[in-house]
Amino acid sequence: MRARSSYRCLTTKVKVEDANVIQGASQQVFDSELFDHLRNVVYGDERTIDKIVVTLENGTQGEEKNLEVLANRNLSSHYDCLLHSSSLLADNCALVKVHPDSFSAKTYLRSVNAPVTGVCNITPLTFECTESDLIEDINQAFWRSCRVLASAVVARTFNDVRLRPLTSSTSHFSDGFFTVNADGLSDVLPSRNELSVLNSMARRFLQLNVPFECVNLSPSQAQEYNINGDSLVRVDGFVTAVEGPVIRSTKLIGDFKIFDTKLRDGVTFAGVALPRGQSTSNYAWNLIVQNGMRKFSHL
Amino acid sequence: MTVQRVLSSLPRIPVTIGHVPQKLKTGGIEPSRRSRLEVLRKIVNRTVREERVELQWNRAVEARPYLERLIQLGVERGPLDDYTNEMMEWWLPEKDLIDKMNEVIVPRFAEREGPFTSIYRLPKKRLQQFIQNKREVWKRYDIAVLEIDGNPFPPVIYDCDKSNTLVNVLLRDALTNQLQRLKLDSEEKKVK
Repeated sequence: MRARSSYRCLTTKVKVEDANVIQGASQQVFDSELFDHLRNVVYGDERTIDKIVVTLENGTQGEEKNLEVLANRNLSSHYDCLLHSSSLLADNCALVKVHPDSFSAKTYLRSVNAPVTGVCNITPLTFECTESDLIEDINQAFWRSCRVLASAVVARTFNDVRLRPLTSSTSHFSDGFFTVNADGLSDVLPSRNELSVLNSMARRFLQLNVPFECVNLSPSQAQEYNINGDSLVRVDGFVTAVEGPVIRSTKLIGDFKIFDTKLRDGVTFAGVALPRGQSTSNYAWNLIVQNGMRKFSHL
Repeated sequence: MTVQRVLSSLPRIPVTIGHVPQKLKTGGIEPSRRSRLEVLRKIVNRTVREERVELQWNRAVEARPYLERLIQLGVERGPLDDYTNEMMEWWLPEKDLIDKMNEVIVPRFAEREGPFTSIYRLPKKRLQQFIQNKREVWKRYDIAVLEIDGNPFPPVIYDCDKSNTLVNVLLRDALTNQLQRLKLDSEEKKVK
């Protein structure tokens, strides 16, 4: 089972109202302490361990039998459960489909890094999923994760930048590009050199295998903490609210490029990305990037 | 019957032939045309035995036409033909494989057209060649899977619809837009 880092318990006394959520007219800035605090609030005290049975269903090849594993409620992640089956499967898994134990509850998609909250059946889903109703959600989760990564890269690269929450604008993968909106850059567009620095920073993220940690919030909790979204995601210290699940780690992202910026009520960064298992030739990748650039320029 | 007359009576093998012969290391046998054939014979023999083999890409490419021709001889001319028997005896030194060829593999393709084999490229593999004075020598090899069709193993490539994967969605969008732009450009030129 995954060992939680020790700093998590130390943050339970943090006063949330101090400065962890800075609200503005168009921005919402979260910090790592709030993330740790909310994880404690949502998943409770880890000193009490409750064992549950999680059934792994084989989503890709129905010939194999289901596998039952023992997990710790609110502590073991779906990734920990999948490791009992195969580390390759766990590493390549984009999302999991969760079937709760009770008959009345509906199935839903979850991040692989999210803790297991009860007795359930889980089906691993990869980027090569053939079910047409699921592949769109998986692609959208990948797109969402790329936006989180782009936000983290922009936040790391520029000083005093204020990123708008991802939930304030929509970005669908069928658009051909994703966007991230930022304030505080004095309304000056980043130069080509700065964009290349952004991309080299992003490549470093991809090499480091940084996990997308997430906390799933109930509507009442989101309202209480004034969070616009159903979950909070942290990647390398950068925290943001999102609406929907995200992928496991930056290692699942193959090609990634922030290709252009635009002044539009702040600065909008646009980029495009592909999953690691779906890398293409340079020619095809350039077609995708140029298509995204053209569509972004007409925005 | 001469070899030329037999071969001219057979249809062409529907696999790649006529390329530059691959340089095959013969592993201890003195390098000559005969030693090269010995290497290929071992591969053909092993493929008939196991029906799916993993080996170096250049060896698989080279051995495949010989295996195709051997199966084709069995299918077209039957086990009673002298030339077919001669070829079977030379290419399959393990004699039980001649029975397997005549009773299992040839009947499998009686109602089917060629090719009777498939070849797939695997990712490159880094393998240790030898150790010399405690120095390990490694080399990167192109790897292939050569198989006789209709074998009992699971398929190498699953036939599934991947049209909705992200890369295909983005590429389809890019190509559709490019096509539209080209049409508009050609229409503009016509108007001018």
